[in-house]
Amino acid sequence: MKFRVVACLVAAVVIASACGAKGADEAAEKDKATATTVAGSPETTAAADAATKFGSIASPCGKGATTATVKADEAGKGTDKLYLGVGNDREGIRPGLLKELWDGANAFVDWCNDQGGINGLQLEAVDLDGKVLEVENAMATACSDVFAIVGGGWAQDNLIFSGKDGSDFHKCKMIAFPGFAVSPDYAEATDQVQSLPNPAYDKPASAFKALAQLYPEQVKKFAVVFGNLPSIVQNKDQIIGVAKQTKGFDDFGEISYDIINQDWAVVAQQVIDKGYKAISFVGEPPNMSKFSQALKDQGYDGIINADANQYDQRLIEGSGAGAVEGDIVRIATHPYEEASKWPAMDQLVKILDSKVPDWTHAGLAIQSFSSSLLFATAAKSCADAGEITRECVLKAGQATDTWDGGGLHAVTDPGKNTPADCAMLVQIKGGKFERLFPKLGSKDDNGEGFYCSPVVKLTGDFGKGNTDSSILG
Amino acid sequence: MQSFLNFTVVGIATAAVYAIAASGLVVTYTTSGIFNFAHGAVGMIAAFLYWQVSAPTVSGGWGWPVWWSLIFVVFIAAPLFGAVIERVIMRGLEGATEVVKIVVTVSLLLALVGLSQWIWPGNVTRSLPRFFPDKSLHLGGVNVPYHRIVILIAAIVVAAVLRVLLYRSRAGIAMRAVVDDRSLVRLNGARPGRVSMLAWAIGAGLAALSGVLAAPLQSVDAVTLTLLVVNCYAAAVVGKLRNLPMTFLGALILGLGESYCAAYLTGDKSIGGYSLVGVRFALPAIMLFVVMVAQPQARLRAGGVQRVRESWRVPKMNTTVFGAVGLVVAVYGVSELISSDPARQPLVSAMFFAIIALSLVPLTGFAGQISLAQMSFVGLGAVVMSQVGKNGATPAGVIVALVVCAIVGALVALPALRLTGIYLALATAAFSLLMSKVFFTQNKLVAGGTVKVPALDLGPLTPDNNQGQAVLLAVIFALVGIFVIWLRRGSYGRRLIAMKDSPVACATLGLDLTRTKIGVFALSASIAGLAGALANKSMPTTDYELLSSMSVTMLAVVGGIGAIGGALIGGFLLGTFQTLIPTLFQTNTIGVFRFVQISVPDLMKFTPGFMGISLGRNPSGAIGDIGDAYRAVGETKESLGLAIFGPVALWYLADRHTISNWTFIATMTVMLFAIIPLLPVLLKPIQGGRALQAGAILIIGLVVVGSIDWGTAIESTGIRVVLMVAATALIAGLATVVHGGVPSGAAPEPSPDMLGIDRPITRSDVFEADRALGLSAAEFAEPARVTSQGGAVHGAA
Repeated sequence: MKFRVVACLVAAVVIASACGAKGADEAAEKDKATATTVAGSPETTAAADAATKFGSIASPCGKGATTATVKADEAGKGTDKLYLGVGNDREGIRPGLLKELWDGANAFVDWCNDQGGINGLQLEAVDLDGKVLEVENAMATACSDVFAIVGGGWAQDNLIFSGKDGSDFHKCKMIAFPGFAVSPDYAEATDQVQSLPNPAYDKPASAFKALAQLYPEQVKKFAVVFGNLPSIVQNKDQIIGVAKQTKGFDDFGEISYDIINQDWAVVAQQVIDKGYKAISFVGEPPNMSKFSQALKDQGYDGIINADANQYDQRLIEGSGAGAVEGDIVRIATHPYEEASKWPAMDQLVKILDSKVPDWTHAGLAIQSFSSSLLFATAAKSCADAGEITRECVLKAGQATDTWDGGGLHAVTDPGKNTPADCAMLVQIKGGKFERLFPKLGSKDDNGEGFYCSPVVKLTGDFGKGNTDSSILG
Repeated sequence: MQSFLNFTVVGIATAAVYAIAASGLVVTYTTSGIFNFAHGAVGMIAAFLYWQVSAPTVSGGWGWPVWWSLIFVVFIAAPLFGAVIERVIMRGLEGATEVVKIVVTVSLLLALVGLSQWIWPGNVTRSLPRFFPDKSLHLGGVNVPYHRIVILIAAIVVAAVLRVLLYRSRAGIAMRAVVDDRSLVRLNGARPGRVSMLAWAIGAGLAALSGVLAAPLQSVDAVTLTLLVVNCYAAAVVGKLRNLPMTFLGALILGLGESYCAAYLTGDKSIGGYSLVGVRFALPAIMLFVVMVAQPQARLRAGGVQRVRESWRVPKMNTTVFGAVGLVVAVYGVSELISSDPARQPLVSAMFFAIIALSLVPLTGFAGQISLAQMSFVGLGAVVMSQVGKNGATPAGVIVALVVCAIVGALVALPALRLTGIYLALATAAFSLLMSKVFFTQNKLVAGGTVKVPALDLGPLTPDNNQGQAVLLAVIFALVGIFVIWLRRGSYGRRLIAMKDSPVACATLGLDLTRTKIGVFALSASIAGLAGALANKSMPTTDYELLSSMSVTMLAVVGGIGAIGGALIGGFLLGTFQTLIPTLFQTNTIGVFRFVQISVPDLMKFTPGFMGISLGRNPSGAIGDIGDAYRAVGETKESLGLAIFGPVALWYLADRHTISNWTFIATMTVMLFAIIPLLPVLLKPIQGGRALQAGAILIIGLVVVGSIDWGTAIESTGIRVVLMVAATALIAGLATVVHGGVPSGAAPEPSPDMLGIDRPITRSDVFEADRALGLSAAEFAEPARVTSQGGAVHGAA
């Protein structure tokens, strides 16, 4: 049923605007640092099994001197393992939706268990498939079966606040380290820590600044092409809000499209007619590929760019590589294509290849793995201190002020829920994503392959987080 | 000016896609008399098949050459599929009501979408290249890709060929003749069956052509391609669903309108914080309404007596009240047995959908009208409640939601009521699209696409968990059910039934059809809105889309739309089975050796659609069969007493944990489906029947089933459920065989529909009819005059 009800999926899609950049001025200095620490537990990493690392950090997984214990009334299915709920929508009306989150989290769980789990306590991924429209049921499973929600996410994640005992995130005193959070309700809620935060009002601007630097003429005729769906409309307003605060951008046109059955020639003609030269597309990869194709039919010579959710093989496969040649995507993670250059990414690709042979090549798998790693690092610190409890893990997560997933992505501040202030642009060339900006080793490169600029603060009404209660009181 | 010309060229190119899709729709309607809602779905399946055969082997396709693939799909596979649909499904609809015809094609649509999602799962990206990729023609200031020119040429060729076929060939004339009068065609020596098969084959071929041509421009996605045709309804209505040239004109207006709107209605304009972006995308729906308003009033046709095959009995008021109380008690009892509150969610869901299904009982079951927008009204009620109830969801908020939904419902129905039933279905489909694109996209009302409906504030009785919510919804269902039956038993109900049976007769007798129809539509919309206002949850607006409404209408009709019990079954089908069955049978697979294997969750993707299709065989829905079995139980106090005592006793044992919940389910299955239906036979002596022995078998069977701890004895929940059903069937079968007697049963009452046809009209018939229609004594003062004109009366009766 719900089918189709296809539309909402696009909400999921917008998600990944999670990736972007962050920034306070002084943060630029921190970004140079490659070491990732969990505040309050510096000894944690040192005590970890030194034989195993992930990227730049010591692995939180290993046998440990004594087997970790988990607080009984928070353990979910039992204390024999650490049960982690992984949100996704892959069996719903849009099969395969958010499978990459499930892939990333499962790869982490297997990788961690191979090393002995967290201080000997094995992990188990519990499937929280929300099937797009049944998120409340998934949350009910979480309430009864898991210690924490880790590495996943749902397109309609505001449905986890059902308000009922047994299926409400806060009422069952749950904590989350999600792979991504879409709605402001969740993204700015209490009791959750994101590895790549996606708050509603603090938005990354470095990628926009990079576009202005690369295409100064085009961005003067900037427009957003967006789908007719509330979540997408909101995302459009956020993009325009960031663009307006970025020097060089002008015009700020708005062109809407119907998320189902749009004749893309009409939309392309609007772009041509208004003379827009820099388009930011908001929506699903298959729609972007059709839109891009329609523009190319008309010999469009401007630039088409989009948020990180388009860093997805489906963009290239949607209408063939030729349709999206030259399209630009803003990301805050290292691309898979540069795995050989970045140890953490190289390690992740190998783990995914061995643990999940049919893994989906999309950016969300990176976010999922990074979140799982952040959770495990926090949980390890608690296990070392005595017992794994939700309060302890949450506090450890919130005390983390710099996090790059061992070198998977730009540095963020999960504790303050601040997104990365650094990002990069990748471009499709010959059917593959490749780095466009910054050039490695150039003055724009922060040393980690990213370009940095402070996060901007938006004004307007983009909703607010669900802060009804917190396990921290 | 250049800009205008450019958008004109783009608009014409868009119109070509609409024209080719709409023409297939019109051809099928003209040649089969059935408006095929599944037309787009057939095109979608064809597009997937085309991808399957033509895609390179590395992508999972078979790598056939493009032209051979095209010929295979459009001229071989699709026509064959169309012929099979006609033979297996549509032929059985001869004489069925328009509602059944609509629901069967809607069901076919849903089944095909489910089937395609099983065969071609959406986790693989599929793309179809355009014909002559990278080549285009420069027209004015616009590059028109060759692919669009191919579509334009195809549309023109299709139009020309169809014109010749329908008006110049014997086959075409025969097709039109079959629609007009099937029997007459047969009398003249033609074979209507074969002619219909040919019509459906051509229709499916056209659907395939539009699917294959449109897929490269759209995504190869089941829902997208299926709904493409919905945008074309307006074009088809311009041609009154029959006229091809006018349909092409409609497509042109639509294509150009869409293009000009894009040109001149740009930006995110808004009024008072409400965005107008969606209005542009609702153009097909708006155009549909405009065209309908402009259509002349449809003539009431008195083309013979329709073979209305559905039959429901109207329960007495005391039976209704008894059933209503029983339902509330049963819902409370079952919820008590479920220890975890989240596990009661399916019960809440079932009751929620039961109210929505109930909203269709007066509209569809009584009045014979159909709505494909019930979920839109649910959404409207939910949004009204979420806004009104921001500072406390009081019962006054519910009243506001009811009134708003009733007014909107009446407005939606207004343009379509002067026309035939199919137009009301189209109008509601258009309304559903309009709401999805304009109303449910307003961030001001549905922030982030979610409607948060607060719990109804009833002081200490405010439902703050699933149990409270399930009981509240059961109470509401019961009250609305009583109201609906009260209405049915009154003169308004009789007017509805009369209108369904014969609009001509009603009009002749002076009934105001329009007012009656608007009233029932408003009532139906407000009941659906009531469900939304009482939802007590956060609902994604995607719940309110057209396909959801179609599913609701389909399964409500499958349940049995003429009866309250049918709505309850529909509710359980919608709210519980589709969620529970895939969960229970998660690890089970049905297969024939290793040749064909399908997991139960996959099976559930398209099973509901096939349930709807089966209506062609049993238009009364499930409640028709179930009702027959249980009706006799209520006729004697003894069997009724035992029928109540049995389940209550089992519930008591389960509540005291004497038996486990799984054992309770097993014993209840035996009780409900083996013992209770046989009670009347056992308690009423029948010659040759061995009631004692059969009763003993039932009791032994119940004890044996009750002594097994089903929860632990069988590991797989799927196998457990299958064994329960098998045990029930075995016990019922054994008892029936041992009993051996056959109840004589009363001779069925002759149907009043056939009055004057299979028997002459008598004076008492006329009195009865007048009384049923609520005519005053003065008006039937001279019955003799009517009966004396026997022949004339036939048509009106």
